[in-house]
Amino acid sequence: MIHTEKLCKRYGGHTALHGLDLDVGKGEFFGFLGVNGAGKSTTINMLTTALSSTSGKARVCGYELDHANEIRQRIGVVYQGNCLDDMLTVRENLMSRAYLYSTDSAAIRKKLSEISSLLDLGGYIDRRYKTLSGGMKRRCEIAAALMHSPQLLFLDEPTTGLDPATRTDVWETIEKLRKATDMTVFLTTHYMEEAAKADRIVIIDKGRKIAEGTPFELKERYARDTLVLYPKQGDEVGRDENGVSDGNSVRISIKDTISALPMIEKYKAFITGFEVIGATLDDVFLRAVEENK
Amino acid sequence: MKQIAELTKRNCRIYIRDKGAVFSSLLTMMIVIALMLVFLGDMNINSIADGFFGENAADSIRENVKSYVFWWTVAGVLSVNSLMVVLTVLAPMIADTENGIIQSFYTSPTARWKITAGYIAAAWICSSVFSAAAMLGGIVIGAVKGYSIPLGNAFLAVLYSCVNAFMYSGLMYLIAVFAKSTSAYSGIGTTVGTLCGFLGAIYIPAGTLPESVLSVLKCLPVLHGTALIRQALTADAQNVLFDGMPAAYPEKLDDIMGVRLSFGENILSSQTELAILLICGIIFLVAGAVILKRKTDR
Repeated sequence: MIHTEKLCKRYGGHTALHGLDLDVGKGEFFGFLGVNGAGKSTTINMLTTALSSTSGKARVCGYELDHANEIRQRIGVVYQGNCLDDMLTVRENLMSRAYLYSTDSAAIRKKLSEISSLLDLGGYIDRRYKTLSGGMKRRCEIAAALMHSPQLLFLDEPTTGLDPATRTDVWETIEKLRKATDMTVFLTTHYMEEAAKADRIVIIDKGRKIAEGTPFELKERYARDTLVLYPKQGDEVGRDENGVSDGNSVRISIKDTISALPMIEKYKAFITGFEVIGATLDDVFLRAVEENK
Repeated sequence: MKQIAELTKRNCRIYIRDKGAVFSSLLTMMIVIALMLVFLGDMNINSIADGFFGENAADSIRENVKSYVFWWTVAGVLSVNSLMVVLTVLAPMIADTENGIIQSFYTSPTARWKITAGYIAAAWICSSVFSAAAMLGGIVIGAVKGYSIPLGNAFLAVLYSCVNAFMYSGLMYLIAVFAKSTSAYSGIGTTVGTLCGFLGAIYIPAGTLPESVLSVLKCLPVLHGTALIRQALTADAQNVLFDGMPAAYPEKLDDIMGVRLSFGENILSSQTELAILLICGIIFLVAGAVILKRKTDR
């Protein structure tokens, strides 16, 4: 669905993207991670044909980037900020956006009905956009991006700045959408727990790809689980495993959860309790960025 | 065309539903009316009556002068209305760029010129409709005061206002291309709005301005737009006012009140003034489009 080779973008003397190679398959949920200024937006802007590349090749939905209209007809984009009009109703907003892609009024009305029922917009479809809650607004933004039945949906930091309840609402909408369609989703975010839902992840930093793989593979490669042992009074544990003690507990870095079992067995007479903390994508991200410095 | 029509509908709705925007676009018109009511109207009436008919002009003549000044003022209102409505309706063009909405338009297959055309068409349509509404208001108020006007002339004035609105749509689009934020556009808009009030001789008759200033104003389309509308609206009142008098009188009044404009000995016909407005509008639109194309990456 997306294929790039040495994709590069320069602004004057500053290189925002250094030869990015990407492959995103059909139906894949692809996570694209990076800190602010890493080159995520530049990449999305080029892939959505809003920005031209300086060099390199890219194909989106089977078309080279210079076939902008063919690509635009096949992609939907949900931006970080709200792009619908406050003064219009949800229905008017969705209709006006759909006309940017098609002039078939009957088909647009049919699609509106489908999207409305898929994303549960019925309760507020004739309300003005400005009167909606944050979660409802985001759902409408997603609906607007789907009005022309895109093959590929770009979600550009769709939950940034939202409260936890609204973020959950947005993710429920995305999950529902993924179950109902086999649409390819390209997600950029800096919320690692959201990226963990992706089939595959690429991490970029300073315009360069620094890591790629499934969330599991990346955790395996860049992060380790932690076994926390709570020793009985006066007992020393974990010294052989380079455990780090804070006086109350000893933290031992382990390859994976299963590796904790022999250690627990070894120290069970000397501890009052234990816990295994799984590696997170935050750890992966920090480690990958650290290694790239 | 369907896409332009839908974008135009969207932009018109945004304007019409924003009560604050509608009010601010009509504010200058209200200021013109207020100034005329407070002192400018009487000043014009007295100077015409005293200048042409002497200080002891009969009440019936003064009433005819009032009718003339009334329609002259309505013409100014229509002219300033054309500008201010265009200015306000185009504001979302800057806001859409500022808050990223334009990005969602640019990632659709709709050509950029169609998106721009949607803004300009909305500005032109809203301005034309509001001019027609202002004309209707003028006819009603005129009827109450006993100042009637042939419907053909009123229709012609609305038609000229539409052409004037086209020129202003081009001008404001060109200005909007340079504005980087809504606050900058608002500042530019206020300046242009005030300036055009004087450039179009809305407040003060063009003939009372120094010749050098008038020569400069004649080179700008603003004055021609106002003059055209005034020609349509004041023609009948002027005929009544100077009934049976030599042609030199109405011609002189036309010169003083900025109804008739000339370059040297050549008096500009309404066709020429229409052409000036249309050509200027096209030049502004093309210039704006070229500059915008250069400014954007693709």
